[in-house]
Amino acid sequence: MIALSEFQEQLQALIPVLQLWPQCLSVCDSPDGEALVGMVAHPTLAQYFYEIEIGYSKTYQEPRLIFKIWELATEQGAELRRPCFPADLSRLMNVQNFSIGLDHLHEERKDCWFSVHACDTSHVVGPVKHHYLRRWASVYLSLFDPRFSDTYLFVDDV
Amino acid sequence: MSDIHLKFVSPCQSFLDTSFFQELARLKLDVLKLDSTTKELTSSIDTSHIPRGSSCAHLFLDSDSFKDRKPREGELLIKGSLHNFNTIEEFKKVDKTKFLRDRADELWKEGTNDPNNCVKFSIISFADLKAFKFFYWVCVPCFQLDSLNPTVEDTGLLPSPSKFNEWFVTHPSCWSCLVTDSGELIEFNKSNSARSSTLCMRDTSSVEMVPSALTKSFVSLLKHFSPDLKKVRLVFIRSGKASSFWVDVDVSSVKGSEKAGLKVSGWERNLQNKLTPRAVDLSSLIDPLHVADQSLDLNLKLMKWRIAPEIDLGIIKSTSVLLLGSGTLGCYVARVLLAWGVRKITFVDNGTVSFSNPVRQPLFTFSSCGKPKAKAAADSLREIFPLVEAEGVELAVPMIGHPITNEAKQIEDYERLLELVKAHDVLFLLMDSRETRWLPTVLGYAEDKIVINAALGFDSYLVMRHGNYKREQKADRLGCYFCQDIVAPSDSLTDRTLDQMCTVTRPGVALMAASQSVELLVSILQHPKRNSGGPDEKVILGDLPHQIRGFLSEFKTLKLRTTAYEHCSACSSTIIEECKSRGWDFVRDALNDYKTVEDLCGLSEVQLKAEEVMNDVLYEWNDDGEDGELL
Repeated sequence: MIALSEFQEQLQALIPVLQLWPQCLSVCDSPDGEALVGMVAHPTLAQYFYEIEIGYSKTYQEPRLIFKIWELATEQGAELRRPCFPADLSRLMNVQNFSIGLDHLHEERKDCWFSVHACDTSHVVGPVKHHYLRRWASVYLSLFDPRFSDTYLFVDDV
Repeated sequence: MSDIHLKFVSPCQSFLDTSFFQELARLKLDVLKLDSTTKELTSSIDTSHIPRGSSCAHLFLDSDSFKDRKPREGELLIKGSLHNFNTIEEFKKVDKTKFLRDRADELWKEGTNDPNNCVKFSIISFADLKAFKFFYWVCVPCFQLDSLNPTVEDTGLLPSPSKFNEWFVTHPSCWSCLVTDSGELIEFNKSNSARSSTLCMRDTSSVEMVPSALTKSFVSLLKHFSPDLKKVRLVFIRSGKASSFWVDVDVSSVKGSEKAGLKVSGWERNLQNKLTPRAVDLSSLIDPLHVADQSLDLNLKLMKWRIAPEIDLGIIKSTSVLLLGSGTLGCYVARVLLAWGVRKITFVDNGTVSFSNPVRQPLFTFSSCGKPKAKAAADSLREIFPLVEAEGVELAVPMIGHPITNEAKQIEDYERLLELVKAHDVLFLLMDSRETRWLPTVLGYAEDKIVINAALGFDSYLVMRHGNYKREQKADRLGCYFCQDIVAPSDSLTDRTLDQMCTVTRPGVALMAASQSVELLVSILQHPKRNSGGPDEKVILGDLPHQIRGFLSEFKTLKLRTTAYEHCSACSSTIIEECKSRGWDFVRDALNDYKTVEDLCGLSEVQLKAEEVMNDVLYEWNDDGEDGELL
């Protein structure tokens, strides 16, 4: 578990890590400043990309990862971006043992997001508070890119 | 140098967030409507968080982009404009080259006054609100003097960009600055240009030693301000470590001035590097309830675009309606209310759905048979539109002239009915007997509610609004359903055959009466004084009649008006005040004996006088016919 204040501090430190991730197209604070939002390219399929939000779950007192999958197509001569809800996520993502549900209704945007359940987080990440969020990211962001943890090779302060 | 010509990266990569389109949809529906004039946008460009996977900074637009806002600390705001078209054909027909040139010409003009104003973006768009699909294309116009062809002479990394970074921190709205010969940083403008041959810019590119295309605009403005300038050092400031750099360029090859024209670029390329518009389909992303909510509003709000711009849909949406009777009329009335956007509808009935009901009563199906009508109707309405606040109340409306059999139960029913009347703005009287309508009519007056009455004959119908009531008002008060009667309503159900007790009508009559009664309510709601206006007033939807009588045998309708009858058994001052002061005691007396009501309101006296007149007439007839033979 991680306290909210600690989470917010570590969240800002995560930005430079995400910037070094080759699949990351953009990363910035959410408008309310309580989460990070970003765009992530699919590592192999150019017609897919992810919109991710790393926030805080007050229920579990853990980082909360929600995401949308966007698919690109062509319609009436325009590049059409539309949300994608694959029945079998494992065909698109590195699902591993994550428990993922299409069950998050975004409070502000009123739209549906996939959420990665935070129930096993402390077991996965361990109890040490130092770099908690970085360790969390190394596990949970591999969902989008199995080589995400390679990013840490370029991070100075690990 | 492998290439002596400068290469450029796109100034930015746009991402329009879902909330941007939701706000665009809202604005289009509620504010812009058919207005296709340009709308201002504000966004920020984040040069400090460019990830390794992206070649340039992101231009992020969300719902806040429609607001004019102040920059947050360290934020670089960028102004833009939205050109939203009303049809997909208009969007497609836009001459993209001309559009970009026009925007670039505007920026050139603004840039000559203040070079920091030459960085703006524009979006062309079309919002398909029914399909929740949005077509758009973003451009960040960059211009270059036709005659300008800068060639690179030397280039290198900037060892210590900190003084430039600090200057930009203290000048958050500046995109560029000049460096004087003494190393001082000054604002880039026409008058300062003569003092410098070093132009410094914020760079939105992250590609090593390759600046963003905005460079072309700034160099063109510098050349315009200092036409004799031959060599210039360009300094590109980036937030990343050791990535800021400089380039010495020869601009002496310039032959003409700005009159030679501008070369323009700026339409955003897609991920496949093609120049095509983009679209986003949000229909499956939005909560279906939210889509349903917006879609219902959409059909109504389209009225405001062209046909009835002044119609007040908000008052309709916020009106709560009590439907007394959940039969054929109740079901149809509820459907029309729903279509008008009414969100709170309560059904009252004490019956159950019979096997004959579903074919005439559109909220019921075969599986509804045997269920309580009011609850079944409310459930069905919620199935049609889950956001409606529909409730079914099983309740027997106490009927005048039907003596009390179980006082505890009837008091309970009366109090529940009174509570419901108080809790709603409008009552619809949709029952199948006269005596059931009496108490709600009186309570409607006592609680100052709008009351709409609809009644059916075999091939005729009556739709009316009850007049308003003020104790002191005598003249010009509109009447109620009972104002033309000289007897109080009483038990009309006992000792009747089935065809006399059931509503036997041509099936289409109920639809006509139901739709007209709701339309009458909508018209009332459009009047600034609601039901308190004069008798013959008009509203933006047209006439505001008191009564509509329809005759299907002749396919004819009449608009009628009757004034309130001073001895009316339901709306006369005596009755309303008696109900207000004595409550259930008054109602109990009326139920046990309708004659008490006639005595109170003066109808007994009227009847007595009428009898005397009749006797006189008969007497005269007898006198006249003394010698004749009655055939």
